[in-house]
Amino acid sequence: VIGDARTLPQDAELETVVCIVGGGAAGIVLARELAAGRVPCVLLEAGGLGYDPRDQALYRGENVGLPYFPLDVARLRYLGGSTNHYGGVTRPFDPEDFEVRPGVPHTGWPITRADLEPYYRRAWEILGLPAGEHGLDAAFEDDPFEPLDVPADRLVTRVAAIVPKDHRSLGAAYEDELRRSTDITVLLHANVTEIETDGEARRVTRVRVATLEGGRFGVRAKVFVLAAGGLENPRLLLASRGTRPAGLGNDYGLVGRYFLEHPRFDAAIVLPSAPDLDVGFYDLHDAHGLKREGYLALPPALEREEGLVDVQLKLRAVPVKAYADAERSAAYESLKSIARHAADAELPDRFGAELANVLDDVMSWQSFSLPGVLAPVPFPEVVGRLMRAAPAEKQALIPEVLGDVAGMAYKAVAGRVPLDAVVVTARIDPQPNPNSRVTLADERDELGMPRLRLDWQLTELDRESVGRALDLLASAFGARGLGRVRRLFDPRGSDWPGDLAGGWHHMGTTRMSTDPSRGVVDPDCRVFGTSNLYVAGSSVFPTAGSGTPTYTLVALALRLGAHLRETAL
Amino acid sequence: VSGRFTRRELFGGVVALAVAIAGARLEPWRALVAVEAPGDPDRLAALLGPDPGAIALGRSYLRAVPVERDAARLTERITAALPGGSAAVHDADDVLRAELGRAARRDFDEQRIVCLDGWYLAVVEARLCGLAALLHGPPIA
Repeated sequence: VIGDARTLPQDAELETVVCIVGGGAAGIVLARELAAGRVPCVLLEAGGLGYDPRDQALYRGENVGLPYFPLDVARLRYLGGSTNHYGGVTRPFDPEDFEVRPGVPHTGWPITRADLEPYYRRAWEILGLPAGEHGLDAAFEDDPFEPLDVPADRLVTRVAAIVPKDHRSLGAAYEDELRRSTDITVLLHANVTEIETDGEARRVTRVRVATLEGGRFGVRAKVFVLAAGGLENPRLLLASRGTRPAGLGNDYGLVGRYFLEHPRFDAAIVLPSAPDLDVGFYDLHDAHGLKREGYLALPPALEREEGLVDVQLKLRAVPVKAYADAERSAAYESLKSIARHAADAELPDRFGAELANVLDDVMSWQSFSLPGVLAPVPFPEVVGRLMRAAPAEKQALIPEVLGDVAGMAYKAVAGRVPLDAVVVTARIDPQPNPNSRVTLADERDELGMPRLRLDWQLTELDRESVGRALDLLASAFGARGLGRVRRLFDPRGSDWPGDLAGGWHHMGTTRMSTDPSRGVVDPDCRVFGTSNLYVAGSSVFPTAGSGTPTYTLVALALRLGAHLRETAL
Repeated sequence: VSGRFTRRELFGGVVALAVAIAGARLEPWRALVAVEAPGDPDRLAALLGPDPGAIALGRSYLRAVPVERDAARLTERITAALPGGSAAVHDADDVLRAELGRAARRDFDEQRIVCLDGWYLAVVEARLCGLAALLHGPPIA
């Protein structure tokens, strides 16, 4: 059932078995898993069924560290949560991601890849991916493109799958099912403002809920699960100070610390030895019904030996200057039409409401894709800039979203695109850093909740690891005669590049550990010191991992669902 | 390095380097490379020609490795990387270029690389640029 919290009587008290806070990927998957075991639950979603600027404004916060997206842009507050702007890139974490990394402090999960394996398999289906090998790297042989022949002791090629468009928003994908469910009660516009506990803060008794229209009510449950995202989970814990002045689960001051992202920036360019260098494997492409893309990365053995964090190198081909032909093509005319449509949208409401459609339009160009053609992947940082740009600036930003389509159109009319260069984007699985953190700001939102202050930090080891990855890229390309590399990033410098951005991945702020002095939740995702408060989502990740977070957080939500069904209820 | 040379010139230097030692793969550009070499250092430097980008890269290299600011020493170290040793400079142009190309690949394979103004070069390539800088560029302070 999907209901509207604004219709509840003032000061109503609801009672259920499991109360889930947050209707994003983790919350929806957990609710479905509980319902499959006939466990009743109430899922409190702060937004509605679509983008609403007033709801979204509750996410505003401060950035005081490295430059980061405005906090009300970096996530979405309506059913489906941030999957509503999910780009679809999917890859499980490698076994090494769960291990303690020599030379990299604060690494290691208290669970292994094997613990997640059965849940990964189910998560694959939940995300709408076709049956088959979800490990992906075994799928090289049936790919129409060849990975680059680079020395395996220097760089490895990995593969990510792309979730189909109709499954990227889990809200849209599962709305009908939620509506039909008799065990799940979704309440929209239900903003949790405080978690209440018994006097010892051992047991959560109730969550206090508010609507923007002034409604107030409470939900009591046997078990409570925070599934509000990597920024909002710590916010709720820190703001719940009724029995613990420092917030719930925060006896060791760890809630909000270890904020992780997947930082990325253009780190190098490659001058190909020959203009027909084929990097099609590293572009978005079709391979037997599955969209996928490859990228280069540091080999795990080398990372261990040298004490490096994982660095991934995405290759983006830059075609020769042949846009004149492309601009005369019918495809390019259609592209310009799309660009005008997007540029004319008004901020924030119309554009926000149509964001998914705009992205769909962009992504739909990939259906025109010929093998090896450049794909206009809407990088989240670019879309984020688009969302907050003034109307007059939007037109100028559109080519950044859609510019590579010109290369695609060129290929359609002229055949193979010869390359001028290959841009190398570095993406880091950074060292967990206690100084990278979220805290509560002084300012309060419309509901009286303290806003967030994000202090995003990276470390010297992150910088050194990128430098080492570029050294290895250069030596690998040089050794194989593929081309020469120019570094755009100085690993010995003190500043990060101006185009440093994240991927809208918020992780680590309620990290998992076996030791309450080193983490916020235990390996079952239960908040230390409490008996019935759990956390679902990427905030429990101790490390950011080499994969993308959605897939792993869905697997973890399935695992939590199984745990609650078997032991906690 | 970049004080007197534009990035485009440096890019040109890397291209010139690639042309010089991989001439067989970039046939149309080979005519740009003048080879007339009365002595060993001149012979090697002539492979690059008076390319300003290569000279800039070479100056950068020699600033970083001042002990190699000597044409004879550079020549000795470059030819030491070739199977024919010092006699290799008397090989035909194609043979010499191919040997230098293989030496560069070996350097990359064994991670004997330097980074000059962001460009990663094999050490043998950097030394070739250094030679060009010594013989065709202004004095290095």
